[in-house]
Order: sequence, then structure tokens, then C-alpha cells
Amino acid sequence: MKPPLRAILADDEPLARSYLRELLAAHPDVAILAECRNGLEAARAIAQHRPELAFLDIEMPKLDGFEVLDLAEAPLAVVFVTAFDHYAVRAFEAHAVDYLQKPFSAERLAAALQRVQQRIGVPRVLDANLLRREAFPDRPFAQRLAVKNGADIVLIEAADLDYATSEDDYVNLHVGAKSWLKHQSLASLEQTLDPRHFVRIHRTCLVNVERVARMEQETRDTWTVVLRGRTELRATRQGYLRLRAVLGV
Amino acid sequence: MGVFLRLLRRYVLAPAVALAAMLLAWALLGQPPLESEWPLLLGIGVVAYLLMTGWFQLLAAREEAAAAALRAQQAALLARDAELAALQARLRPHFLFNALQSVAALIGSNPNAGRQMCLDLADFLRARFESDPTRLVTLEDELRITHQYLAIERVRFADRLIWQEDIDPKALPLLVPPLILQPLVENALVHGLARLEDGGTVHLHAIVQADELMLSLDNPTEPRSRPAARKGQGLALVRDRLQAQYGVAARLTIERSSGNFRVILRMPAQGLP
Repeated sequence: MKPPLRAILADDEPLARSYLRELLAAHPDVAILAECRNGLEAARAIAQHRPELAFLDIEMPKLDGFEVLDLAEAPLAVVFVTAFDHYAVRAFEAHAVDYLQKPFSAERLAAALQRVQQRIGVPRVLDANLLRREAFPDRPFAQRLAVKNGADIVLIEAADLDYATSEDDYVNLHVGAKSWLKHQSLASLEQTLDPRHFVRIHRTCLVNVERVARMEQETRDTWTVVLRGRTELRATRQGYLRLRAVLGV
Repeated sequence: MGVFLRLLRRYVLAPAVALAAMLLAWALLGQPPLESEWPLLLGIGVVAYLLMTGWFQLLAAREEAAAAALRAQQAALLARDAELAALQARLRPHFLFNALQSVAALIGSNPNAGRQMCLDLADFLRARFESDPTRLVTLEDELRITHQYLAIERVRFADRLIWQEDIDPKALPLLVPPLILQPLVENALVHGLARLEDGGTVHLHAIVQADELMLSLDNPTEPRSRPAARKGQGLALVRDRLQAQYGVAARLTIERSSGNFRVILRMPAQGLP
């Protein structure tokens, strides 16, 4: 017999958790490793238990379901659970992501589990940030960024971010004197943030326009962007022009 | 049509009546008028004409005023009905599906509580669908429907939701637009408590000051939360409804401080006639 599927479930409502637990009791092929009351707990439980499957409510305190998925580094099958979200369901359908609409039946849960079983071991890339943008078209930009820091998770307000640089498969997020590494491409981060506040000035650098103190031309095609904290960043001609356009100068 | 009627009155009816008055006077004289009597006849004609046109003008002004009032009233009613219908329809499907999820869960674990929740939900829906959007209700009635709503949400939020109210007894019989409070409470839960791990206290105050009824609702928020992009569509609707009902005599204000969100409604203190 196959070992049971290792799963966690996350929902801020006790009743919703107990209902899912009750229905999952009929599936001995699924073992619940953790029940989480908010997104932060879920992200920690995923880091700690490395489950194969996560049932994630979308709207949760601290971190929403998409942010939890974004933080999961190991391959993870996700079943989103949502009460009613027209756009979210459309996004799930479009990206072949499993979901359950509350209230859901035992049969519907069984069908979702069957699909999950078929997909386990099939590598697939799921862009949580893209999903989130499609699911919440009325709030397309992230107000905060969730970053893993060892076993812990740090929340950074987007407005607090000074600039971000790309380093291999990571982005380095600079906040005051501190910096955090997040497993994400700079292009993906750029799409997540509001373009009226964050501008790509270089292939490897995204800057918060609020922090820009002045710009100095170095050569014909390169500029130096000086931030209020005296940090100097390199900008290409294109980046310089983009920054000027956003600053309106 | 109005213009035609006015011209008809001024240039046909009024002269005709003046002429008729002159003829009548002529007939009363009983004989062909003497030369000295011509000015009298002419005078009677002129006076009759002036009286008629004056009267017609008064009539026209009155009709105009009545039509304008009717138009304004109709426009206001239409606008109000549209807004009210929108508000009625804005029963958030999210709320309903979540409630049904709770019922489904309770039927397995606590059937009696599940039954109670079905009944609470039915009470709330009945009160909502039966409420006449164009008729004001007493604050007491509005509180009743709010409590029904809270009974349902309490199952979902469990101990994360604490409700407190301080109601001036003088406020209870005062009139408010129906469903003016419940959307505010819903807003406090969805955008406030739901985002807080430990929930918190939602506090309602009702105060009567001079000729004004003031309702204020406080809810905790995430300490650093910025106004979300989809903040208070409900609040905007409530504000529009107050305006439709009372014009400038009512207003909705929002006070945001770190970790707290307060909505204040002020409206004229009106009782049942």
C-alpha cells in the first residue's frame, strides 16, 4: 500500500477546518500533518512538514492563500478553498488549479483528491503572483511582500522597500539597513508591485521612486541614481528615461 | 404642449373673454352705445383682458411649479429606488455561501446548532427581503436585523467576534433608512475582524444630540493596514443612501487611526409621526 498523502489544511474558521477534517477522515490515503488558523501558520507548517498537499483558504489573516503558495519552495499540490470568488474560480480554471467552493460535498472533495493523486510527481510551475493578480483584479498590486528568513517569515510593506536587485534566482530586497533574499525573479517582482511606485532602472535593479534623491549622468548611456540614504544605483539610458517618466521630470 | 396652451390662452382665450365682456356690457346697455359710453366698453374689455392674462399667468406658474416638483420627486424616487435595489441586491454571496458552509459543518458535529443556524439564516433573509426599501424603520427594528446578521456571523467567527453596543434609549424609536446599519457591521467584519487572528470587539454607539441621531461603529484593523483597494463599496452605498434620504442634513464620516476604524453616521432625529 502506498504511504498516505501528507497534507496540511489552513482556514481561519474553526468550523471550516472541522468540516474538512471530517470529510477527509473517509480518505485513509490522506494524512493531516497540521491544521493552521492563518496564512503565517500555514507557511511555517509547509516549511516544517514539507507536505505534498495543502488545502488553502484564500482570505486568511496575516497571509492569504496565494502568498502561502508563493512561499512554498518544495513542490506542493494545492487545493484552494473559497466561499465565492468569481474571478478566483476563473483563474483556477484557466491554470488548471484544483479548488473547492464552499460548501462542498464529499464527492467533490473525492474528485479533487483523485486529480491531486494523478498529478503528484508531475512537475509543474504555478505562479502564485500571477494567480493572485487574476483572482483579485481589483487589487492588482501587492501591498506587502512575504519573505522566508530561515524558519521564519518576514512581512515587508511594499512602501518600505527601498530597492531590489536580482541575484541569480533570487531578488535581494533592501529595506533600510537590512536586506532579505526572496526566491523570485526580478521581472516577477516588478509585475507584483505598483509601477507608479517601482521602476526598473537596470536589468538587475528595481527602485522605489519615493527614495530617489537625484540622478547623475556618468557616460553617454549610463546614469547613477542616488537614493536618499546615499546608496548609488546604476541605471541604463532606458531605465533613466523610465524613471524620469514616472517622476514626471 | 405647454407652450401651445400658453399662446392659446394669451392670444385666443383672453381676447375672446374680453370681447365677450364687451358684448355683454353692450347688451346690458340695451341700445346702441352712445359715443360717451365707448371708453367704458373699451375699458371693460381691457380690464377683462388683463384679468384673464393675469389669472392665466398665475395658473401657468402654478402648473410649472407642480410639474417641477413632480419631476424632482420622481427623480428622487427613481434614484432612491435604484440605490435601494442595489443595496438590497448587495447581499454578499460570500456571506451566504460561508453561512451554508457552517450549516454543512454543524450538521455533522452539532446538529442542533446546525438547525439553529438554518433558522437564524431564514430570519435574517426574511427580514431583508420583506423590508420595504422606501420606508424608514425605527432604529430598534434596524438593530433587530443587525442582531440576526450577527447571530449568523458569530457561528463563523466564534470567539473572534465580540459585539458591544451603547444605545441611548431615546434613539430606539427614531427613524433610519432600512438596512443602513447592517452593511456597516458587515464591513467591520469583512475588512476588520476577518483579517485579525484574534478578532476583536465591534462597538456600536447610538447617541441623540440636539436634533441629530449619531450612530458610530468602531472596529479594530491590522495595525499597519493601508486602505485596501476594494474598501467599502458598502460604505459608499450607505453614504449615497443617506444623501438620497436627507440631502445635506445627513453625513457619513470615517476616522482611521492605527489599529482602529470608525464610521460615523449623522442624520436628523425624526420619530414616528
